[in-house]
Amino acid sequence: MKGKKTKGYRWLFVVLVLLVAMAGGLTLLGRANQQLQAHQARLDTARQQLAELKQENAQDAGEAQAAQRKLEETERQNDALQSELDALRRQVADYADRYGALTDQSISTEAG
Amino acid sequence: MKKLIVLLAGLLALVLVGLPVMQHVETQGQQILAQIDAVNAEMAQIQDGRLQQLASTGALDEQLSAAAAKTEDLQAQLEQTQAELARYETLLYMHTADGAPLGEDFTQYRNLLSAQGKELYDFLRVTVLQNRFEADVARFGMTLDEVAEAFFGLLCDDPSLFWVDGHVVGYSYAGGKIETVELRASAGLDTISREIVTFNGAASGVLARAQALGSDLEKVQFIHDYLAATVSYVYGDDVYTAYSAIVNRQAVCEGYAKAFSYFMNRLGIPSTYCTGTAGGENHGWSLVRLDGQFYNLDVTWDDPLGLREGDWRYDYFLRSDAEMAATHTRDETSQKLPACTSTRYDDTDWDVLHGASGADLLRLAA
Repeated sequence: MKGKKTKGYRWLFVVLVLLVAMAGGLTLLGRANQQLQAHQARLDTARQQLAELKQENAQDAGEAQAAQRKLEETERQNDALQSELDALRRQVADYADRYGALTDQSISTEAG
Repeated sequence: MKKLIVLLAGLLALVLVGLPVMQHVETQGQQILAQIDAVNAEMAQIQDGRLQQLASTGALDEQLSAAAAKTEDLQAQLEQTQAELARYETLLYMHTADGAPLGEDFTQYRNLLSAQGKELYDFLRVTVLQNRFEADVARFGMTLDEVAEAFFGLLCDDPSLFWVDGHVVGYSYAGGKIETVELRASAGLDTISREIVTFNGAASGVLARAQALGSDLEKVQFIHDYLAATVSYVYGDDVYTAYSAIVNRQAVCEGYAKAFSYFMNRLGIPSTYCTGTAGGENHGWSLVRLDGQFYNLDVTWDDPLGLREGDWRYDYFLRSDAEMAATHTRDETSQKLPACTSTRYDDTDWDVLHGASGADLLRLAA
């Protein structure tokens, strides 16, 4: 009777050891899983930040392109204005010459 | 022994099951960390790029500001140059259209001046045509009356100078001789430019109609009729010039007579402005030369106040001095102008020669 009882205790011990080992393993697994989820959350956050950054970057690039286009357009406009100004100045110089010649002629005619 | 084997087997089974799971979790964790590193690296790269882009955007903004400033500067220069061009266009117009030197037939007042007076007259004419209104006249050595006489004569001879105020507004002198005179334009050059264009436009249609007529007599009559039909006698501030009569169609005697002289000058028929009194009041009318003879012509009195617009009469049309003497008396200066001795047209019934209806002339003026 005593031998059966001892056997029973030994089996119980074996089962307990196995249970403790299983619990330890599961605990380790749970912790690892938690860590994995934390990494996943960091990854998600980083990805979101990256997406936002990319969006801002695209917006900046768009603005820069618009500014570049505006600059080019302004420069073209300035070139056109400069050409117009040059033409007008040539015309003014021409008129000034003609007017100078006329007044000289007039003065000489009227003085004579 | 059996129990130990079961225990070891159970532990081994646990290890065999647990290890791959743990390894899988570990691998996944490392992959996630690697991905995080990759994302961070990409973010860092993008940040660097953005910094560079921001720097270049800053430079671009500066370039844009500079370009915009240049645009403003160019536009200002353009406006300035356009104004300068308009000024020259006006000056050229003044000089070439109406500013051409007038011959002796068209400068009756100049003809009355001394040689020195004529030089001053010519100098003042060129001065105002150049849109200058301060003149150094010291070299002519003339008194204020002599300067005023030359200036008055200039404006009587050339009604196209309607933008020149008729007064000497200031002067300096030394030893009784005038050194500088200050004249005045009726408006700024921009306004004058517009007025000249308007004046020219209003006169051109009338001149074209008159030029198409066969004889000088018909031209004189046409212009007389046109002014009498279209101009109203009105007192006011701006009623003394050819412009007021031709453009505004409102004038007093001086405006009527100067408009008549302007048209005559442009048609090549000598005519001049004559001053004196009529009906006991100061008055101005015209002298016009036809076939070598001067005649009196008073458009104002041929357009009396009681008459309807578009009507006129010929009571003071091509009259001799003798005929005019009953109502008109020349003043001292005008007495020096050519005498109107011919009585050729004194008894002419001008209505017979009436060429254009009042309605026709009013349409032309409109």
